[in-house]
Amino acid sequence: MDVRAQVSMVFHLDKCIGCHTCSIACKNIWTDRKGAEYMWWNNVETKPGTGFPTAWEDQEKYKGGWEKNGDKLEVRAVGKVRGAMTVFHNPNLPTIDDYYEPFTYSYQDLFDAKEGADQPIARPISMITGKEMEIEAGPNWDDDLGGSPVYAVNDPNLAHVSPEERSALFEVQKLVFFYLPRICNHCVNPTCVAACPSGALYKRGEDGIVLLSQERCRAWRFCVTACPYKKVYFNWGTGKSEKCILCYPRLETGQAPACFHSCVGRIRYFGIVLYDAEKIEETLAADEKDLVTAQRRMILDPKDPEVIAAAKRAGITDDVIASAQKSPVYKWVVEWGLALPLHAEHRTLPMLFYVPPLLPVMAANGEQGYDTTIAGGSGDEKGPRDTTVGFLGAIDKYRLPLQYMASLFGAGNEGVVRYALRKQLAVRTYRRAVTVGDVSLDDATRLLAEADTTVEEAEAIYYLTSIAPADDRFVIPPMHREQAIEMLDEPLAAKGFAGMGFRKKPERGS
Amino acid sequence: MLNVLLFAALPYVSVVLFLLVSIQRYRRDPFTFSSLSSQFLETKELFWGSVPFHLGILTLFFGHLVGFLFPRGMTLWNGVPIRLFLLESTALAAALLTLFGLGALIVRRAAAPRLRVVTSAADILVYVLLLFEIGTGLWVAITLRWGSAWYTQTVVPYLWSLVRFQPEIQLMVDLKLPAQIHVVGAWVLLGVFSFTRLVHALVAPVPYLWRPNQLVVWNRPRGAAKR
Amino acid sequence: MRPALLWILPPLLLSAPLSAQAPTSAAAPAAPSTVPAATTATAAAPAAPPQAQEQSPAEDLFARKCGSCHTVGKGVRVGPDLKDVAKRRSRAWLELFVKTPSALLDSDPDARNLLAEFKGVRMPDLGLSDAESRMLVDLVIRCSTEPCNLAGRFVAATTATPRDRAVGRELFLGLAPMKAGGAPCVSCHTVRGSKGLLGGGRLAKDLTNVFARLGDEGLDTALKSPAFPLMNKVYAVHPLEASEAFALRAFLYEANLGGEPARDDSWSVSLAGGIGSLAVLVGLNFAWGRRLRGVRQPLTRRRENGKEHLS
Repeated sequence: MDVRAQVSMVFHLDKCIGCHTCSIACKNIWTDRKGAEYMWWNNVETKPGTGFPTAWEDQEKYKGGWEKNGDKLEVRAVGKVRGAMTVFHNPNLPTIDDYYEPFTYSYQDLFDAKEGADQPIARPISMITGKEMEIEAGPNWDDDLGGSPVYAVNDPNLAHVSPEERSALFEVQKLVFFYLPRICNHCVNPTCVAACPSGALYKRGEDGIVLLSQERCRAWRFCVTACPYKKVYFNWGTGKSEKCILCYPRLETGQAPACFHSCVGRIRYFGIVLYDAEKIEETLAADEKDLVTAQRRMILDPKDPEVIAAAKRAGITDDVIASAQKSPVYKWVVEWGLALPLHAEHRTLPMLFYVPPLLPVMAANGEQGYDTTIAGGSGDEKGPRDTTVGFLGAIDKYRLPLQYMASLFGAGNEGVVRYALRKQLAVRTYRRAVTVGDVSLDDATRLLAEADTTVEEAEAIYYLTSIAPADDRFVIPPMHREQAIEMLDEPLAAKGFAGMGFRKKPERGS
Repeated sequence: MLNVLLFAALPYVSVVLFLLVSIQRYRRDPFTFSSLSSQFLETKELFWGSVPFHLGILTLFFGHLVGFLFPRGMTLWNGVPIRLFLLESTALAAALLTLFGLGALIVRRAAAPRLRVVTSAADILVYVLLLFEIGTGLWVAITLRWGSAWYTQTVVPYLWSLVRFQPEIQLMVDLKLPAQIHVVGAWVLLGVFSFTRLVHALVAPVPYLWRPNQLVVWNRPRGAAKR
Repeated sequence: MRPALLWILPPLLLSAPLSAQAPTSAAAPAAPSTVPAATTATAAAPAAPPQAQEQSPAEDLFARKCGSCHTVGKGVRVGPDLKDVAKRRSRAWLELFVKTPSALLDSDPDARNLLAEFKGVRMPDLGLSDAESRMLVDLVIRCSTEPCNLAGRFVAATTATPRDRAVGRELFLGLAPMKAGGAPCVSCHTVRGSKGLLGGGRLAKDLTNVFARLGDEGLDTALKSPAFPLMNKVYAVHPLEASEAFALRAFLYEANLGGEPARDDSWSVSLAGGIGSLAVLVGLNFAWGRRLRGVRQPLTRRRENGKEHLS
């Protein structure tokens, strides 16, 4: 057993209100610079939708992630040989037009314009050329289903949905969407790291944060193509790639990353998990449908004495182990099985997990419209009710087709998504029984049992979902910077090894 | 005097500049070592520029290098007309590809407003020098034909004389004008090499082909566990 | 990508066995069939020319060191005719000049005049001893009045056999290598009727009538220790042997007599290069056939176009 610690995250999508506060917090700290204006290390997408950059999930075009050839995993488009052949022109590189041309407005014109018959206006100005431009796109151009006929209908995940369901999805009366906030997944098997020809991308051993050394990056651009989540961005100004650093300077001082800290809906959970590095290969070899469960098996129980002993042998300190034992992520992902990785089929083992959204709760009930009862039936019958219908009932009639959700969160496996949704539904029905009382506790506990959970677990889920204060949501492990090599070494000499390592203003070379 | 300057002093100045500046720049300012790819801003025309240019210029570079290292082998190779034909036509095709690619790159850079933002004076210098080199190279190839045959007898001994620190500049002085300026242009290009984006050629990611996929960096020793 | 590589690869692959190849590269399958096999086999060892009258050591020294530029009574070559030179200069001056021309060329007015007269061609320091320079001055004085054999073991090209000419042809065309590793003549020269090296190089003059221009003896000297710029440097390190020079003279003598005009096959290389580069471009376009040409813009434009179509 080769125990390693990995910072890990859970986003509870039912709680996301799509306010983009996280994106702004990140932008203001990290990407408010020349060449980085278009970057959104954190962005919030509307689903169904094409996201940012446009249609990033369409790997037919962008060719990101790993490809399984027999027993071997290979970087899909820019692996060793193919990458070397296409180094002079990357055929799968998105360009700035697939994101958007960053813009500002000529606000000064409002003040400086000469007196005249017309009102002065502020025209859009390109932040690349500084010239007037026509705005064609933005980081959230399809927010809240804006432009659905162009964007949402081209959501690659809809490929798994039947034509009837798909057309139903875009009927005005039945429109449905949810938000998907995305940051770098800090994968255990990152394609970007594997694809970086100059070895600029690396994973920090102690916490698994994936970083990109600005001094080693040579702009070969393979990482941009390789990341199936398109979360490595190319800075056109400095000629270097950049990516989410999980606010490691904040983490090292015990603060949650800015996007976590600023989250209005408190949808984000942060914690460390221990995993067995020896199981990585076995996990990666799993069939696509088993990937989600295999990834869970890779994560170790931090309370198991054997694991604790192995962790200590691997040099993981006691306080980090204690932090892992309190980790909310371990509960969401492994104990409760509620949180699922996004697009696990790319085999990068992403360490950002999503609790699939239950909303909107009203299920489609065939021709009769919606069943507005709580748990199905008229509400005054005695005995067991048909829990497959009703206000909180029909998972199978869930308005977002299950195949669609499985394409996002289950690597095509509907089972894991259905499990997570049923359990959430059961918890919600149980809490309804406790607080409102229009569902009987008997019905509720039966639902809990059917959803493979108990009253205690339901209370714990309820607590972490709705009540938990910041300290329970963000369990930040001590990063032990006092033990880092910089402390033992000449500071300037060792600085380049960790993090971004700037010792001067990052200016474009000649 | 001018000849000594161009064929003996300039090469040494260029080589010293190339070595010292490259090493010092790599040590002091690794951040500036980048291919500074502009594919992110413009990709369609880049294909017609970058790919033929790089394939062509690499072929030409290694062709010159092989002649420098194995002059006798190249002379023997050229003894048979069909082999000379192969070598010369390959070299000419590579030169035409390079010229085509470079032309496409220059037109592209001049035409796209976005690219002008990321074009430095050094970039323009590089374009001018490369165009000059390829232009004179083609001039040599066409007017003084079978360069691959006499290159090994004239320029290669000259280069080796420089390596031995006994420059035989007469070899260059007696050569025809197109070849002379081609050689001078090469020295100038080498001299400015390390001040420009051309340094990306020095950090070509060859080790990528065999390095392991994942890269883990530990901030502190990993205790008893294996790495 | 793949077509591009294929284009580059053949010469590289073919070059692999090169180092292992014996010097008689004429044995390569691509050798023109016009060369009889028998001569090919002996190409590396041309027949020694017949022996001429024996030379004294001084005469031999003159032939080796001075003969390429000077004659005694046979006219101006690269440097002045040395007949009666002792009547024009003092003996001390001559000995010093023969030994170290560089000592006088820049300072002595007479030497400077000579330098101007001979278009700035400087006589090199020959590294002679005092005894040797005395010997040479003696020789020149003697030969100004009585006959000497200063031309070395000279055998006229007219006496050459067809086989000698064939050997010369192979040397000229590079089908057989020079013993000292010198470049074949066709690297830089063309000659009428030569087919090797696609007609020959263009760096230096056409040699079709060189026999007439320089004469047999002048040609011999030019071959053994050429005074032409560049060529002198190139062959200083790889000098021709007497037998090789003889064979080449024989070949050039024949060339001077007539035959087809020099071939110019460079168009074929230009054509192949042009077609090759175009083929590579087409191949690249094919290999990169599925490159991204934008994702967002085609997506939105498809919709816009669709709208126009509907309305």
